Amino acid sequence: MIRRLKTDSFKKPALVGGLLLVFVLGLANFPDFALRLYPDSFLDGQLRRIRRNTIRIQGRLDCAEATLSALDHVRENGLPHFHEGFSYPSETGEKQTTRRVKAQQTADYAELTELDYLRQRLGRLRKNDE
Amino acid sequence: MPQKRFLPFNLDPVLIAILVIAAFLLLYKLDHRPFWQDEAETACLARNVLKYGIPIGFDGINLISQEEGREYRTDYVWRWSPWAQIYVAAAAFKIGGLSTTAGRLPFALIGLVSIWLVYFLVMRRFGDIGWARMSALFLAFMVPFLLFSRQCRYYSLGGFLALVFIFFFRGRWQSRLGPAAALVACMVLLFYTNYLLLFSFAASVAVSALLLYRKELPARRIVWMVIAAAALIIPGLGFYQIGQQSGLMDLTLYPCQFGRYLTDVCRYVVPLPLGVVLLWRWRRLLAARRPPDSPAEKFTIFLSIIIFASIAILALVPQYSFRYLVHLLPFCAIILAWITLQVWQFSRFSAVFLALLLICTNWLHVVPMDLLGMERPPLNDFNMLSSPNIPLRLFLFEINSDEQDSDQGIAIFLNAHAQPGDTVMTTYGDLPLQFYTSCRVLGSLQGKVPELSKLPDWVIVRHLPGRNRDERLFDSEEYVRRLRLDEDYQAVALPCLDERYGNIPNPHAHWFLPLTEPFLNIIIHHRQSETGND
Repeated sequence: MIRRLKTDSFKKPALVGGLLLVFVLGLANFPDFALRLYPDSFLDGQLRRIRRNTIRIQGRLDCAEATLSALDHVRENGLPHFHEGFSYPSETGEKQTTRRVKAQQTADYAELTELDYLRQRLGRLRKNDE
Repeated sequence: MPQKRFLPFNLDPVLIAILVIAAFLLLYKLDHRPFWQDEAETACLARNVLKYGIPIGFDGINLISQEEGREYRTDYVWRWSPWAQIYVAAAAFKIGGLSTTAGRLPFALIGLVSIWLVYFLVMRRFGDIGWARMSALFLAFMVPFLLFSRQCRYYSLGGFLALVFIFFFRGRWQSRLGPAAALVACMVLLFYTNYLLLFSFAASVAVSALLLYRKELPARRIVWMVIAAAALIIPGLGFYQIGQQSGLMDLTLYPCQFGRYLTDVCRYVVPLPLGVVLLWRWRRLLAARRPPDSPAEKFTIFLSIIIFASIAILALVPQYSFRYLVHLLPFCAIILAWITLQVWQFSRFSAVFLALLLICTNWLHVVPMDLLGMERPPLNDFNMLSSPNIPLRLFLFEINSDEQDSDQGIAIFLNAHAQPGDTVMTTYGDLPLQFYTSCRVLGSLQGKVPELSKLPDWVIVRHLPGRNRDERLFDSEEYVRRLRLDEDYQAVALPCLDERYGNIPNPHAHWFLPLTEPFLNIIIHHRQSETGND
């Protein structure tokens, strides 16, 4: 009984505290509120998030471009010679791969442009603030 | 808060107030944005039902396809998805005319009835008016539920049938014929609404019932019910080419899809901390397979297992989409209400605070995930549910906004400038244009572009390129890239955002209007000279 009372007396403030913490953090990250109180650091945080996504997509794009140049190289010079049991990709397979990688590349470019617009929108908010 | 006294459900003033508010949220300005691609698919097929009596994918001018023509055979009879939603929309068009409001109205009304049904289910089965009221309240103010219910699609219908099923499942179907027949009818209707819902729902209910209500499952009656349901479902299995579609599954994606479904449930519906608390509370019960003594808690565990098992099954489906979880949203509302009532017994202040956080904000959903370093979706903006927000405010601003979305902007422009019968080639959003304009609309996900005697009169290249199931660009994307847009066409920029999906209800992709500039504008290319085909 005493143990239960002790646990309960700890649980209640912990619950209220946890909810208050979420409320405060939520309010602090709520755009309308944050843009009025501390626009610079809030926008910096948002920009960092966009930058992280940009880097990720840029990495994927670099990978797609490297694959395309490797495929070009193979097309021009042929595949390196492996042992006899090695199964070489067919011409159709190679074409399909090229189409897929090009599609990936196009999608990545579009996403990067989209992220750029998000960045510009944040930049405009900062300007308005100034 | 919870009371044992039973008030007749239809006289409860709190329920009436909730339903009035919900009616406003669900029915006000149903045409605030036009049909987006998927809704327009249902709407165009429904229009063809009025013309031909059955859903035909080709009316002699326009082709309705989002799967490169996989949806039908040479007769163009629609076989990709079940017909229930198409006939519901067709009936609505027959009564209300071919309009956005008419198409969405029956589904929004079903959403409204679902809110009442959530209340009725809890009230009738558990007699707890506090729980019933809170469940209805949570569902009525759940913005993802509102977005999906205001669509000309099967979403609210699926949720309604799942609720009816659970209502009868907790009744006396073991000894009475009526409830057993209702369960069979629900299964069959769920199949003809969307068979994925039936497969995931029936299997997860079976698992959950075996774990929690094993003693209440009479084997012989279940066998008869399954036989009855199967007799009505099996003809549909072949007709809807389900075998062909299952070939599109990719098991290597399973862990990723499973994780994404769980993340999205936590981000938009049941906050992660509440999920963790429930797991902690039920850890011993789940390990020992000993159900709790309280029928309410047992039922809450039952619903939670259904949700979890559904996700585990749905992760097998080729394309991830939050839409496959929509029929589970009423259950989530019941669970959230139960948690709030448990907190109420412990600390009233905390319960009120928790309810306000859940109803008025999405902070409990987003903030803990941010703190754990779980990245928000890449194209996350302030106008989305993936950012800390007041979701109802976003929702109300949007339905009161006069800003045009991408589909609306294009349709208005073409209706003003294109001649009836003009050919429009677009890389996405062909179906809204088929519904709202009198043009011949090609491209998008229709597959191989047919031979044209002359270049398309209008070309719309949407910003985000579409890729098909083989991860290749759509044929329309490749087609427009071969056109000499700079030489043969004149570009016109429309004053609306080039967002990919328009009024898509999926919470990770829905951009609430109005949006602040700068944004990418829609560009329409108009053919300038009588050039032959390239």
